Amino acid sequence: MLSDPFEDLFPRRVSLGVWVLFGLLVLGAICHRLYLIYGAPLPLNDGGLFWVHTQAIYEGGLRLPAVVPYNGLEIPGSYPPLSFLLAASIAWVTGVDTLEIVRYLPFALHVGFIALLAPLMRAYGVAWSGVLLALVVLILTQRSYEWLIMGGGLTRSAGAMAAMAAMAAAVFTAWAMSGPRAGWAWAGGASLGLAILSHLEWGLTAVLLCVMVVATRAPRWSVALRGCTMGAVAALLVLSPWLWWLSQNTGFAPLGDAMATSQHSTAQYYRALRAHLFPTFLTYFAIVGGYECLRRRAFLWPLLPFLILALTPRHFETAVTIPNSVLAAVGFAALWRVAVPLLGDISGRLRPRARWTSEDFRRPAVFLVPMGFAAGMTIFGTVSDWKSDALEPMRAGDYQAMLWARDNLPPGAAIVALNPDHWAADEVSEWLPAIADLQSLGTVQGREWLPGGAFHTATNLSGQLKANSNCPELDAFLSLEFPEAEYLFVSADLGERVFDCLPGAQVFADQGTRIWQLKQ
Amino acid sequence: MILPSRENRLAELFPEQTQIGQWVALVGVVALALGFRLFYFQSDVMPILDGGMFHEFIAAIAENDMRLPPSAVYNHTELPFAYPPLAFWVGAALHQYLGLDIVQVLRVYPFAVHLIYVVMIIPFLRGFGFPMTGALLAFAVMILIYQSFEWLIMGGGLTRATGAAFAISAGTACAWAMRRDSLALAVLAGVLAGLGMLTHLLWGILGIMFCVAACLSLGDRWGHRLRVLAIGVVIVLAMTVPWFLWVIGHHGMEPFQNAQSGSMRGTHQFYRTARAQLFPSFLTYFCIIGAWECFRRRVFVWPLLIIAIIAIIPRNYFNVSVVPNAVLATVGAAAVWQWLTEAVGDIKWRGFTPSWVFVISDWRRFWVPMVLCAGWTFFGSFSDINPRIMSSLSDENLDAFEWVNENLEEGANILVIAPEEWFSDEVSEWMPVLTEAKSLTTIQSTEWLPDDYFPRHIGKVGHLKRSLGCPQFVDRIAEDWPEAQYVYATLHVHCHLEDPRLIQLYETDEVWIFQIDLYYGAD
Repeated sequence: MLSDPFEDLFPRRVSLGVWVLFGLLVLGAICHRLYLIYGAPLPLNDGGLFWVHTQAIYEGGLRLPAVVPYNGLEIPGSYPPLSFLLAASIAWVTGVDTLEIVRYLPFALHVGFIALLAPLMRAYGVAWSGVLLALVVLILTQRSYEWLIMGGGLTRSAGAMAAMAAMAAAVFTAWAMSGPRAGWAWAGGASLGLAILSHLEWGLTAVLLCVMVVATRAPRWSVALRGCTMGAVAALLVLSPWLWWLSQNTGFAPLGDAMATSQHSTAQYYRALRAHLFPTFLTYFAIVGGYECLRRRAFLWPLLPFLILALTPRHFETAVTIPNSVLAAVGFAALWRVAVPLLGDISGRLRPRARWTSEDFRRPAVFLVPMGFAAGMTIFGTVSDWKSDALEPMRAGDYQAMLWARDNLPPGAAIVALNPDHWAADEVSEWLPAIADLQSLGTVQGREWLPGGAFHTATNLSGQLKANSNCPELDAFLSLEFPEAEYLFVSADLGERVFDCLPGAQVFADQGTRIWQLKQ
Repeated sequence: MILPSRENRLAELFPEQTQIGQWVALVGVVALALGFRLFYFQSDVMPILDGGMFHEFIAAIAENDMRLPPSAVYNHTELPFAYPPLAFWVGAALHQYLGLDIVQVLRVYPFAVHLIYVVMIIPFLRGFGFPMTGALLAFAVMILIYQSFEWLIMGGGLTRATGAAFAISAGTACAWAMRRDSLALAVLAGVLAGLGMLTHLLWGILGIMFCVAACLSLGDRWGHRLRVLAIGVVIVLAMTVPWFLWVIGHHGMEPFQNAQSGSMRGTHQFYRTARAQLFPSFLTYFCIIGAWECFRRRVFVWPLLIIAIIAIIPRNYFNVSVVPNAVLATVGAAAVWQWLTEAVGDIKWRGFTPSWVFVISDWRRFWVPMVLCAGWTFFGSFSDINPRIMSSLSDENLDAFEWVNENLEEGANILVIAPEEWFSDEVSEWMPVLTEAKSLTTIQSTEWLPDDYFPRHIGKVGHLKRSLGCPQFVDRIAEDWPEAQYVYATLHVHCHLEDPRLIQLYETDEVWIFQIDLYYGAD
């Protein structure tokens, strides 16, 4: 373990009160997540495609499928497969339904992702009080779980798994750099390979974390070079079976198609730098923390947000929670460090006989104050940022309608799902093909792996579909863009909107969800 | 004599002496800033955006032999003349004695006066003990911040820019009064603060806040502070009470109470500001670092000013906070520069290019952070530009106004439908001045009317603008605006193609005028 640049900010000892507050906050955060997951009939938001992929592996005897049938499409099985294999293996060993695994496994893995921040910070010599403060900020930040605990959290859904592997890789690399420990370098490289094998963007984040750890922690260039070499070899060894399988089955073109959706653009960087670099209200503390890091020449943490943004702009907001929580923790502690002598002076002037000095504020037990303040501020910011679309459970009526459609409509029938949410938060379009075995014409998911700009075409069409504000507009749109549509699925989220101008008849209605059979 | 008052704990961040490079960089910054502003003076006829109501106020004073009239007529409505009158007097004097056209006064005068406000930050900060290098850096930041001119150089800037100039001048005089223990400067500060209050209430309050900040942070004895504050309070009261009594004598307290309803003071406004708009875009990083450096050094005046401004002047927060924001950004940039030169100097010495003579003391080359800071601020300002606010009445609208005067009856009731928000809608503002018609949807001036007319009117106009589909547009007019006779639209309202109750009278690429016949087809 190397010297701690923040040793004057965090008390070396942790009082029982701080542990108790930490435990309560973690318990509250975990219960909130479980409440969200448990209350939904299906995994939260997305994951339909991933469930189909997992099911295909499970039914194929744990072998990877070259093609995944989803939504009437043949999606190349090029998605990094580790999390699907893990979910299918658990189902194979335990007999638990794969759907339930897709529902709960992301949550379990994301807990590991959050917990691994502790050894990473410890490897940087940060005292336990600082580690607990950063963990509190991380676990209470909405982005640390929003896209990780949902069905799609199995791999972005693999995101949780991959994030965990990325963090593990960074931890192992940090330990390897702090001494001639070849074993840790091999473990770091292997974890890096597992991260890439779970989710490409998190894999890139893992590469970035490892490179930055080596750059900031290696005592000599020779150690860095040796560690990097061992890590790269280990990563390649882990990845080579999958790369060989890709070359034999799907080729590498689908990976190129998926990369085209990465949102690398000046506009994206500009937008993030302008308003979204840090979570709302944590901005103040994260910037102070970044500046304090620079003053102490601890460059890793303030550089990471910019590098993550440059490397993986699409999932930037989730990945950046790692350095942001550290920066905010440093900011809170620095504020407390300056406030302590100030409060001591004020109390000394107001109550000279009370013998209440700035040293009293430094006691480990009083560290409860900045921790409580940080927790309150983070919760306030999370509540302010709350967007319920993505974490809103599927309506019971929608789920019942999917089950009815599975039993009553011809398999593969063409259907258009109407739901007001943005395509990424539209759980109906994602799960309809998976549950009801229909072809959902407006579903975007899966098309990022198809050639010819299929993803951008689908997102544009999805946007246009949702923009139709009345029945005649919708009728004209369906005739023009989806003339093959046989059914229309109207989500309960749309309320009582009337579509009686459409040619056809309503064949299902329950709890606000309606299905129309359209006349051709 | 300069008193040995508290030293400026921020001074160590700035070199003591300026160098030629910093002055050269400053010339470039000023040229850029002036070019940025002059770009918006594209109309050689009309002022930018607003000023229509102020035009009528100036005309009313001029027609009343330079005496303050109890009321003025705007948009066929008699308004209590409760607005602080000083800038209108100045405008009327320029019109009356120099023969300048009032529209041209509104076009040129705000721009000229706002320059005083911007330049005054140099003596203002010198009064607070900043070295010249720091004061120049703050000036470079301030002159490039978009909000330092956005609402000041337009027609309505007549009062705002004058008020801003008085506010910072009052703060400057007070700061120097504290440093030099000068009675004359304390009196001057009081006079300038009083003039600020007589020009624009909110900017006048800012001037008082500057004076209080100077007294509290620069005084070294409570007796000294209280003496200067007492002098200022007496002078401000002596200057403003007669005018207040005059207004109360004619109209009672009601106009002030009505205007207060538009102050936007509320938890929601504070929350929204703290959430996203506390600092200008992209300067946020430096402002927060600057605030942090102030806090570390126990220089509380600048961060506290920001919070005090949100609490006291929430409606104008974004514009009146420019001065403390510029100071915070300057302190932040200087702190980063000092750290950076040290870090870079170390790196160079440690092995990259040891032959280069680059040492920590090179941070004195202050033109470098000035150029970087200016570029960064300009980038942020460019990002913040709202072209709908910084526009003048177009020639097409002026032609249409002429057509209205020639073809519609005097006092005709017109609904103006423009895509802009009411405060950036120059057509609604100027129509009552340049035509004989009455614009039913003009919001300006209604803040002085009773019974919460201002917020209700905003809601009613917004409702109409959200009902542009057919036939709900004309239905909405029939329900909410039965007295309306014409629609003047600067956005596409195609209802006349489907709804026979609208008859198109006038059409260009930019303006459409319709006659409304709500009883079409009725027996």
